[in-house]
Amino acid sequence: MEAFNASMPLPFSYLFTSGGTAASTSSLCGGPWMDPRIWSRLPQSLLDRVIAFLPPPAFFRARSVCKRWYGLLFSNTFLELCFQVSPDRHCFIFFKNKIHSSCIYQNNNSTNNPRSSSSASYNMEGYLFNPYEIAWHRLSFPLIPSGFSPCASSGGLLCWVSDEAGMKSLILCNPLVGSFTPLPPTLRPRLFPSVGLTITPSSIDVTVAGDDLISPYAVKNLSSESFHIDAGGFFSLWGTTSSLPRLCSLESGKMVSVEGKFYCMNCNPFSVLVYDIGSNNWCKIQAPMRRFLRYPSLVESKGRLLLVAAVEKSKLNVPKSLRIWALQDCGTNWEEMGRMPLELYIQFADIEGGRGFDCVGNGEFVVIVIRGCWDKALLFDMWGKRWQWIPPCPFVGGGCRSSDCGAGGSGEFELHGFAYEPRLATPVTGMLDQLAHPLQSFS
Amino acid sequence: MRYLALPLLSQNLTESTARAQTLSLYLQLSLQVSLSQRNESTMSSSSSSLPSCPKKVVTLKSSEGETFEIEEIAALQSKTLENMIDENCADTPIPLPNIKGKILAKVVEYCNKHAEVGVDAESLRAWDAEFVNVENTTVFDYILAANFLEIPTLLDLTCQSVADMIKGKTPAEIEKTFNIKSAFTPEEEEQVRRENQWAFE
Repeated sequence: MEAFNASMPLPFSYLFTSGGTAASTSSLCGGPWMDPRIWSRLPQSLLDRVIAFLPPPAFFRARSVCKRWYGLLFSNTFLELCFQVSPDRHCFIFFKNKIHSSCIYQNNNSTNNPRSSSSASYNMEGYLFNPYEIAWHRLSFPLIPSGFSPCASSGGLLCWVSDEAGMKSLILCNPLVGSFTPLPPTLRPRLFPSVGLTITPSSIDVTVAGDDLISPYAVKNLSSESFHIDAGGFFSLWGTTSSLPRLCSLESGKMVSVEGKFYCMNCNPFSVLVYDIGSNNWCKIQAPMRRFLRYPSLVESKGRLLLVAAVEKSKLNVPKSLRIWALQDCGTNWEEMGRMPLELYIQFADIEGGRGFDCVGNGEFVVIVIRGCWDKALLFDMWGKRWQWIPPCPFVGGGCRSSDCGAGGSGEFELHGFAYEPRLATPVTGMLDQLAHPLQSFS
Repeated sequence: MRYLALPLLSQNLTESTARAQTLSLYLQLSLQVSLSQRNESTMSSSSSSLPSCPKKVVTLKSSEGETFEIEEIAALQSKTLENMIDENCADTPIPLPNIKGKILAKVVEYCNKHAEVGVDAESLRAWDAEFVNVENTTVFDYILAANFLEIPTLLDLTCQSVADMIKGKTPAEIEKTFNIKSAFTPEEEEQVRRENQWAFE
């Protein structure tokens, strides 16, 4: 691995400056000076194309320019253009997640939000993190009712699942546009199942696994149900069920989707559960160094599954480290891809202090969030081979609560992240609308 | 193959004469066949000479009359040029009256670079970044040229670089740059800003 880069980058959040003209060309926020005599001659269609290349925060700011630009979000031709030309952006979206144990007591979602006690003004917040610019934005989800939590993300859509025990309701939502598309409810009662989502331009696949309520008070990891719909007209409304491997515990609740399969971390001892969507089949594969892993997380990158975990071999004289393995094409063997530089790991372990950490990855980036520490997180760029500390989310209470060790107390939260590709257009949800209104021939 | 009118064999002919006539007819027919076969083969060989000769060069003429040569393979990245080449107008210089010589030279350079084989993606990306690292008046000309010539990669590259130029600008600055009249009332503008508040934070 390359030498650790210790410099803190500028928190490059987009500040809105009212009025003042950016006279200096060196101002990073304003961009280079552009001569209006030239640029006003750019034809409308080409200007639309330029707008389609804007990253989402800039696009939404640009909507205040004029009525035409405001309306582009509703224009089918523009959305189609976006669909074709917009580059993939490997971003993340984080939520303050209540710890599961506190759910049973109907705890508030956020201790910082005094309004959360009244369900009428309940407003879920998500924090969009852009690793290219190290920028945070706060997104709200006014249409999502209380009693739902985010559980998966794919293709620009976020999936929310109902918290209440029983048949689960799911909602697909595009965070930028605020769209709301419910799925039909699952068929089997469950407590806190793991949910996997895969979206392609012409299909939707959802799998809900584990935590079967075999009686109102008994939970067992028995089965999974899958939902599928595609543009070819094939669909399965949760009728596709499969048995989980014996004695598994899917505690993380997160399923990572890689090349037509869902992967989920299994605990005690650590292994990886694999669900093949096409053949509706579960199997188990061994995790590397499974007896020495701490807080393993699964991450998808460039069509491959990666496992990120801290390694501790207390008996042997092996230095502690944080390592990344990649699952090989054979589907069973892992190859170590790299590890955190030792000097950085020492700092990291010092802050982490055994509290645990979570990893989430997208494309070339992996974000590591230390539990209980909100004043910084780690960003790893796999392609550029750079590790760096990143400033905290400005919308979440800051400060490192070093006094809180071990288990998070009541009212504590964890920052729970998902890989997210911001997209203005997610036309695939149109297929779900067809399900809801099958008799409507004119949509 | 043309149908030959078969000569009427008179019944008065002796057997040898008949045989001779049949033979000559046969010879004529086979001559026809071989001639047509040779024609087909010459035709096919001439049509195969076009793609098998990659060094075929197309000439482009700028608005000032300056000519630039570009290999046909590189030129095919432009849908406009591809159509013109298909219609076989490529033997004479193709006039491009709305593209200046200075810009056309660079566009030819871009197409040549992107037609090269064996260039790894990383270095091509770096080359592209350098290509658009020019005055924004030049980028403007590139966009119009890429649009007219229908070169999707160059169009996307240039539009992305303009998007990068404006993404940090305030709405007011963008209005000024593109000379757009807002037409929002102050109340409406305030409402739009509140709607999209998250992007301003």
